Amino acid sequence: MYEYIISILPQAMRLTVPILFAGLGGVLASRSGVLNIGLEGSMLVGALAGVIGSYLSGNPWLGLLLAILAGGIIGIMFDLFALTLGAPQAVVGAAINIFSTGITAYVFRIIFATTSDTVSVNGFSSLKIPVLGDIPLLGEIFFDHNVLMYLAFLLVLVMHVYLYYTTGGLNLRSCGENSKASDSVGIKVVQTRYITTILSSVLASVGGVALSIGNVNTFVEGMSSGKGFIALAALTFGRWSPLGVMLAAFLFGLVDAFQLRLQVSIVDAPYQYYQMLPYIVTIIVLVWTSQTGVTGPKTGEYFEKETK
Amino acid sequence: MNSVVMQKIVKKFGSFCANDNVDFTLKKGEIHALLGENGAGKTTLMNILYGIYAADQGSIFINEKEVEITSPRVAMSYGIGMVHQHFMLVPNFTVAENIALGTKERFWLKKSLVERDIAELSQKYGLKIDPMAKVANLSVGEQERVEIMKALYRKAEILILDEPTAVLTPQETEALFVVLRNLAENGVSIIIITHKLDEVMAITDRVTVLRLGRKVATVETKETTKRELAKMMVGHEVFLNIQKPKVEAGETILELNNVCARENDTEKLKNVSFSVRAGEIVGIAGVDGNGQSELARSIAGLFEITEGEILLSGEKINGTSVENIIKKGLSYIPEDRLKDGLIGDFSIEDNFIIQILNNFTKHGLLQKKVIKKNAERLIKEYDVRSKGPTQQAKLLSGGNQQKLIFARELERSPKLLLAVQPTRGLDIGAIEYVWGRINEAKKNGVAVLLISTELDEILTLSDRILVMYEGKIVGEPIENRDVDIQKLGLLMAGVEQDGDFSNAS
Repeated sequence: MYEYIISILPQAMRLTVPILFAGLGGVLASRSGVLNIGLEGSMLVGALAGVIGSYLSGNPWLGLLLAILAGGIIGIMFDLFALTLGAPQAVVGAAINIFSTGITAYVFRIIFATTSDTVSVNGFSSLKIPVLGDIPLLGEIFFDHNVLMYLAFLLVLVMHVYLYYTTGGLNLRSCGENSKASDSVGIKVVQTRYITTILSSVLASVGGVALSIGNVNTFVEGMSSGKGFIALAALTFGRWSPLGVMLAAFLFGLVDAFQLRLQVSIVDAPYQYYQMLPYIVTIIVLVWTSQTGVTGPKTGEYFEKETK
Repeated sequence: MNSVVMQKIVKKFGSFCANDNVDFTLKKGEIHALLGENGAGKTTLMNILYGIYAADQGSIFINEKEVEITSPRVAMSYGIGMVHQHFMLVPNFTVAENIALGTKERFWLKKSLVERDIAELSQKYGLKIDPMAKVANLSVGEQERVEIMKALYRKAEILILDEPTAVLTPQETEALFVVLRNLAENGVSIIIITHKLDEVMAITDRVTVLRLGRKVATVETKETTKRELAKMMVGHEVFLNIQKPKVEAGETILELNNVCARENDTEKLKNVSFSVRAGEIVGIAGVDGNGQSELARSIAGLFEITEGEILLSGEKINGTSVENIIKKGLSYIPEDRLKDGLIGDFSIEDNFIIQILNNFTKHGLLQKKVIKKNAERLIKEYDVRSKGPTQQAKLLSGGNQQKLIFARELERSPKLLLAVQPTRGLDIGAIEYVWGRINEAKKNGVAVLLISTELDEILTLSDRILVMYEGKIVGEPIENRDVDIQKLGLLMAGVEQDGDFSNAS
């Protein structure tokens, strides 16, 4: 049993990365008072943009760059509708998810002129860290992955420090707690939320890159398959903090790796049952966290300055 | 020297003129009251000074220099600080974090530096605050101090306080006054927006009175009287000497026995027991948020109690329906008129009949003519100033909305009148009206339970006074003829008394 668990850990780490990126995006948005349920859509767009960028240039880094741009555009769309025009954030987020499903399928078919054949592009290869990567067991689990993985964990640290140890972080968090108070001391609430939402969409998009050219080196329609929503669950479970989200994302990654292993090791049951596992865990976790009665930042409100 | 001079300020909202050529002068180091009824334009004027609104006309001078104040940020840069009526604090942050909020001078959040600055200011002005405490755990009085500290930390030399004592106990108010005097002696100029005359007399050096958007006068506090100020404020002589009608109390109408209630994991009501008799007004005093609204909502059947029982005319009403409670004779004046008392989008006539719809239907159809007649009669009897029965309720002034509710509730000949904050936000004329109606109900043998955070109101109307603190009734019922304000204040602040009512037994 012990060895079994150890053996799925490297895989679990890989599966954690996309959820972690999107979850960290969720932390930024929700801490500033925005409910971005469009993470799923941003992720899907990022996954495709990564593949296109890498396909056109042969360089996965340019794929990442294209995904960052695409995620940024999705973020700006969200901001425009939800923060400037005042549409309900949940509705805008849902619209972005639906929009992304359509636009990615469409663009994918146009560029690759295929619906069934898999397209393979250059992805990020594994980057074994010298010395650390040679440590038995730990090396394999933590220090033998592609660059996106290291980036994700570095980001956890950076965000933690920024949110809790800088004045900028304090100001950002206040927007998600009591935006009127923030406004009254001269913090630009809408501007702050514009930036965090764009960043959250960009991060989810990078999470999508981790799914496509950071893992399977191809794009499949609808390949985010709810990971953006799982990231939202991780966000709640992780108490809207970078460290918490990291642990929560790892839990979901672990369950995902476990079900993949079950698919190959126990083939008696239809594999769909195993595939359900991460989602079932998501539901259980969400129900459980909502029972604790801890409420997070106030998200979803439309902030409007008092009329002059 | 003058800290602030505002000249010929005009501010219009649509066709409504909130400030009409208002002049205002604040001298350095003085405490200046801006006095007026609701809607007189006090807050508008100060919002212009603080950069929240832009004036349509007029000019502002700070320290004798003409300035243009386009946002609160600009106002702060001129040394103006504002303590809003609804505190602008983040409950989940510590005091130090709240005070540092919005500052951008440093990248790193150095709490030790902020805490040192707070300690210095505390020392200088005698403002005691624990910088490490979480704001959510502070009392309202302490939160007010945090707000003042926030302004001082931003180097405010001109401090605007909007209704600062609205939510304070008498002791907290006194403590606040000490702080304010201290600040003024140290050269801080202070403006207090208020409609409380006692407060003006107690603390200010000068008063500017506004009425209907115009300045009435600026006078030295020493040279005026409460009566004169009231007259300036309202425009005519007012006598708020409401006589308490003498009524022999009858049978017990409302009785609460060991009522407990909780919301989520917090206990909202703890063993509340008391009774109200016919022809008697029982006042429940206490600082806002000590379980008063839960108590009211429990009696009205809107909040589930976990233990104990509530009897109306000897019959248990808890656990039954709201409809049943109304039928048994409850009339309820809720604390939030527009949210719970009325349907704002409905017409006046429809609002009159919402609980007794069946009396106005025939074969399931509304009897429009009867409804209109009913409305016309009530509008006249209760003096609801409106454009007619079909006007939307939300378009009425606060006072007239309250008259509408009183008309509807008293018309049902209740046994029990439950009035919660019945005069909140009303002007003197309307307050007089509401108090008169409550006394009249008492004369008619109605049992009245008055829940209010305004001590004045409680003292003016009640026969017996109970104090609520953290969901409990503290102390013994106090007969209104031998009331000791000091003692009442201590009870409201939750300070345990020796002897009689310790919890030892």
